[in-house]
Amino acid sequence: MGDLDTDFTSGDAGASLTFPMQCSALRKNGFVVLKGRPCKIVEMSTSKTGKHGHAKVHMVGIDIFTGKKNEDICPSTHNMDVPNIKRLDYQLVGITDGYLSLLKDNGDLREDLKLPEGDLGKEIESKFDSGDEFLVSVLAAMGEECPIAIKPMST
Amino acid sequence: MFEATPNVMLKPTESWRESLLDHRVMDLFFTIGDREADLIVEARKLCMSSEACVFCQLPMGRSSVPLELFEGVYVVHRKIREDSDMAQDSLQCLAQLASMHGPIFPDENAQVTYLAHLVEGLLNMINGIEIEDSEAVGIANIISNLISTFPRSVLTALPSELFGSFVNCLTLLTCSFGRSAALEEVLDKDDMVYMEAYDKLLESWLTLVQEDEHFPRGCFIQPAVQVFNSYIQCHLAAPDGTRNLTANGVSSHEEEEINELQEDDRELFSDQLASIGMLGRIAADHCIPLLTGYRLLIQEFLLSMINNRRPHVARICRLLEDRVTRLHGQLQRHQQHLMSTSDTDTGDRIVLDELYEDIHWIILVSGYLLADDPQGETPLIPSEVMEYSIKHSTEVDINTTLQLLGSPGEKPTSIPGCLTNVECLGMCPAEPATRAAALPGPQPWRQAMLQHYSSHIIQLEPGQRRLLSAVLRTSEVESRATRASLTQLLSPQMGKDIVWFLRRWAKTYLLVDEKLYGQISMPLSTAFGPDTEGAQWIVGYLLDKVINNLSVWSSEPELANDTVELLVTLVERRERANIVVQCENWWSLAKQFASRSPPLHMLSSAVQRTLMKALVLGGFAHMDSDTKQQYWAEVLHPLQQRFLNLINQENFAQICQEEVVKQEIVATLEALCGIAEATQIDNVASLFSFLMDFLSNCIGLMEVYRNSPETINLIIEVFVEVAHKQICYLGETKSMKLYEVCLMLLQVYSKNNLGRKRLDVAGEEEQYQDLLLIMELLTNLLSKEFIDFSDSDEVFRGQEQSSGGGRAVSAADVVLYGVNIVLPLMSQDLLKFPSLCNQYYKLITFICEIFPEKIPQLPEDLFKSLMCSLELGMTTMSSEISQLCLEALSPLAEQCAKTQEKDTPLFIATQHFLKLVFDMLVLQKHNTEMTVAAGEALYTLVCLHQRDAVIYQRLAEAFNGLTASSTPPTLDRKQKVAFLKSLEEFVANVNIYEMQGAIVFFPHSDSSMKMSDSDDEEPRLSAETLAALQEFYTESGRTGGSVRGDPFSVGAVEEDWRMSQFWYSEETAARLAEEVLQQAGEHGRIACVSAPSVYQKLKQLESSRSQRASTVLLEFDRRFAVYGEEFVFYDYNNPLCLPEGLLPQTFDVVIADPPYLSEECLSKVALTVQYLTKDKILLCTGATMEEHAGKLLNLKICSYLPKHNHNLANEFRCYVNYNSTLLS
Repeated sequence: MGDLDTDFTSGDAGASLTFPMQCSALRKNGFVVLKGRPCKIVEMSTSKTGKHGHAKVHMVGIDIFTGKKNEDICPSTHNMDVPNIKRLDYQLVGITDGYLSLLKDNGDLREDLKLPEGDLGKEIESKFDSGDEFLVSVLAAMGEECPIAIKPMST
Repeated sequence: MFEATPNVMLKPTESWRESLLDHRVMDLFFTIGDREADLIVEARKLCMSSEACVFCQLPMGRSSVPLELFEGVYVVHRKIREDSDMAQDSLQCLAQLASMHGPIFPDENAQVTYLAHLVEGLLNMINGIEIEDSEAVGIANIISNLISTFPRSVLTALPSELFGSFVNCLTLLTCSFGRSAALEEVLDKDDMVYMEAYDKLLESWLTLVQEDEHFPRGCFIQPAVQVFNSYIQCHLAAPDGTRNLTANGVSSHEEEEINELQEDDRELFSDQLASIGMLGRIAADHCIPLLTGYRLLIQEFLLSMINNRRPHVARICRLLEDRVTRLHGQLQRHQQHLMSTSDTDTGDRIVLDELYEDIHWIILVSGYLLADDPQGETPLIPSEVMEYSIKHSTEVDINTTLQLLGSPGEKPTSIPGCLTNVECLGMCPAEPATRAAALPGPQPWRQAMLQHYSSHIIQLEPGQRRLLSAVLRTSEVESRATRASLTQLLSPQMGKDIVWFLRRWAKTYLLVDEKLYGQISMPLSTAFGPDTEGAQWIVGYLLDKVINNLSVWSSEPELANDTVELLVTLVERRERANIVVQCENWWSLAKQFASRSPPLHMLSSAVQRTLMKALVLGGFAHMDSDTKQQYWAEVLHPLQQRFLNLINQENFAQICQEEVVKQEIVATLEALCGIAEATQIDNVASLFSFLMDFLSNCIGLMEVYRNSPETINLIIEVFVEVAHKQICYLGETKSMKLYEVCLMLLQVYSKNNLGRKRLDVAGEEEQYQDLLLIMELLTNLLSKEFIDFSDSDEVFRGQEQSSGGGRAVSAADVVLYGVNIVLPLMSQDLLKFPSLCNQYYKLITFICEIFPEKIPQLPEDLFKSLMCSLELGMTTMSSEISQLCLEALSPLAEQCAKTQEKDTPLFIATQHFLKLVFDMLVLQKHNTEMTVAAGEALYTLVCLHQRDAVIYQRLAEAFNGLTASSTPPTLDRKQKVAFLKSLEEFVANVNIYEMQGAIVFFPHSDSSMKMSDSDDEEPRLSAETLAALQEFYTESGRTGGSVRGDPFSVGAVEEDWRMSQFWYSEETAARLAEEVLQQAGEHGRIACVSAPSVYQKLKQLESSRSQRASTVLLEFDRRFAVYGEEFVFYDYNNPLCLPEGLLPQTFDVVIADPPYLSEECLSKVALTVQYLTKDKILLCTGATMEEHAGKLLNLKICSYLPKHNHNLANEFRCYVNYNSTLLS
């Protein structure tokens, strides 16, 4: 929330991958870096050691790319890294050698993203083969990018 | 049947007088007294029936005199106390006797005599024995019953010597239980018997001293002193106290993990602390005459501890001083440690924690001593404290006070006159503070020490002007001190205690309103009254404290929360707010928060919300219009600006999912909730208009964020808050506007939820948060029908003309629309979540009460599910829910009566409910609290159905003791009340008999109990009553056909999963019934053990065929008692506890379906089966039980697969020990 006054429309050039936030200010369903991985917080609870102890925060997060579970416990005064997350929708225009050809808003083409493995990948492939036109949502955080969903073209 | 609460009061009717109070001797105890064995048996018999219904079993003519009776029980208790079970019974019996009241006593004298005997016996017993752990609660119960039952006048009429020794005994007992309770805590026992007993006794004390004007003046001072001292002692560490000491004097210290769900001590022990605080005040008040020599020691906290003895004074002061010196030393060591290793060592923390813990308890006790928790009422200074302060007002020199206040930097000693009142500095708690302020060394130490000093000092303030200056200095030093380096050594718990105390203090003492008091203490009003420098100063100080805490302790959510609550306290009363807004700090806080700059944005959302609330409240303080405008420009307008800028951006649709944007939206929504919370009657006009602008925008956001449940929830929450806080003030036009937006919200919600399936049935409660919030919103909207403060738009007068359009949308429309959305989404599974369940039933009860006419208009399936859920709630949920459901029935029945239409679905449903309610009252376990609600429902239902049913005639006869009048019941209040009263007696009587093992006992025409002529004859239903009941059941079973159908159809009684009930499918039941019928042969006997659906099928088959067999149902669920004599109550835990009529090996075939899939359950049921059967056994249970079934009963598994109405996850099978067609 700290840098809210920045222009939302500008690109992320120069923006840092993460920003710090005091542990106690994090909230459930928000994002945080746990064990070096960007995670969505699915569980948060506080505890303290002894009656006069200081609060500690226990967090469980799901890796936004791999779906793996990460846990961490730290003092509530601690500053945690929060990933800068971007979600962009591209139109899929082609699949070559397991790479997606994606059309940006401004007409540029990018072809550096792999067709994801698993069900989503299969779905993309089959939909594309059957001639459907659709958008691919790509999640970007901490220098990593990954298609995470598809949605129909809004007309 | 009564739920087994130990505290059912004994209120025998007049007819008992003879047996309980008569002159003749109950020689029972004495004749059998010699023979120990008999004695125990008799005692047990007596004690088992602790409702004292035992007396009806005693042979007539051997009545008792109370004295002998008590002695008897006391003697019995002493003899049997080794056997803890029996001791429990006898103590409970005594507790019952101690609660005897009502018409049994012809006059007060009888009561006094009775009580005297009771108390005498009690004292003899307590003094004669060493109390065992298991007896503590029982004894406490006796005392607490005794004190709460007998009127003060009876207590005071006791011989003074007896009363004296009773109070004395109570004091000693309380202290000793207190110590034992502390010990229990140290040992971390699971079963805190002494704690429970201690709580009970303290509660009794509270009852006693609250009406102490009835008692001889001062008679409670000494006891109060003792109890208070022992409490303090138990909570202070050695050497002053005994905290954490085990019995052999070893100190134990364990660091345990405490999670956020654990209650804070101040809540956990609030009852204890309240009693102790009260006792402290009593003592303080009465000790004052003795205190004249020590006029300086006039702070209320110490007072009660010091009481009237000088050595205590020194002790307490030493206590505080010690704490400080030790804390200082500890902090110093830490500082050095930090320098050398930069790593905190936990070893030393123990010592610090001990100090914090001492301070923690001292603060808690002083908080409770100084002020009550008003909970909604205007807080008043306790009269004892006020009186005390008045008495000492002559000793206070106002000038010195003001001088001290005005010079925060100087030490008190440098101001002439300041110390003239101080006779002995060493005994005064302000002195260590002075020393602390003057301590050399790094600032952080001071800050730490002074922070905890400030807590002590503040609490000493009322009447202690000198201490004000100490606080001032503290805050001076504190503001200069560096903070960060030492926060990790401080205790957040202590910080919490401090702000909690300050809040409690400020509520009561700050800006005292002189009009509220008959007399007011000068020092109090001059120090903290309106328009005083003192008040201004202290407000400033508290504000500083809040701001400081919010930055230093942002990481401690609870502490931050307490801190903002303090802030709310400061601004929620206009007088205080006026001072607050004059402070510079307040403005900078407001600006800081509005700009979301650090450190405030680090606070948790709940804290930010409350902070917003405080800031808004502050805005309604008295300011000139320019200032006011400026203030709103600082606080509210930035919020609006940012929000509008954001959502009006062209590319909002694209950026709305970005994290920063989402966060901004969330922060705005949180702030809106806070603003809504700040609503008061005089600011609702402006806040409502402000919020309405947002609400319509929020509906747009619902669409945008439909995939982000947490944002959706927050949006709905804003609506909930607005409705909750504002609707009761809104006039017609405004409410209409609110209804409209709510309707829009519901429309969007329903659109987004249409066809939405929640696949994850096992999901967590919070996944259904949106549903919960929607229901809350609807309930809030309805609440206007109950609470409406609006006076035809008075608060908005002059703002607008009432629009001519008339009622466009009404609350009913919105709510019913909402119900149409909610009902289909609420499944039976969701009702298992307590919060959803509560909210749901609250809502539907509200609707039934307010709009009963709309219920029949619901679409058929919705109507059905509504009725089903009512029934479900009534029969299977907690007593609270059942009560709500019962309350919903009366308006529905009245609605039916109004329309005069029969055969409407609602009419038929009420018929069904009539039967259910009757069942509930008479045949089933229910909580006695529900009798009234159930009675009311029953009455209206009976009224409704009297015309068409012959049943009513029968019922009326059976009930004529109840209605006791020949006029047919009508819907007027007088009759209803009379009915309720006799019903209560009736049900109580019925239930008492039930507890004795009889089924139902209807009293005959008069409602007093009739005793059986001989002892061994069991009370039974009279033949005509039984017939009426039977008929009633069959009738209502038939007429209520659309709901229940044939009484013998499978499912006529509904499944109750809590009893592990799952009915067979129609085919399975039929197949199994055929099977056993065939195996039993003509005129054979069949036993169904826990298999009611097979029983039901058998009865159905029987009626359609010539083949006859006699069948018995053994079942735990008493709902099946409707089948009359063929029903036998059966609990598998007592497999052979069967009525005498069931002879061994008399059944041709036994079919059993054990309720649980466990070896234990099966083996017990097997005992029953083997006992009953001649040979053939048919067992239905899980496939996993095959091995046990073979081993226990030598059964073979069948290939036939039984099916259930609802799919069971466990595979089910049949097992037989004979050649059956089921096998292949």
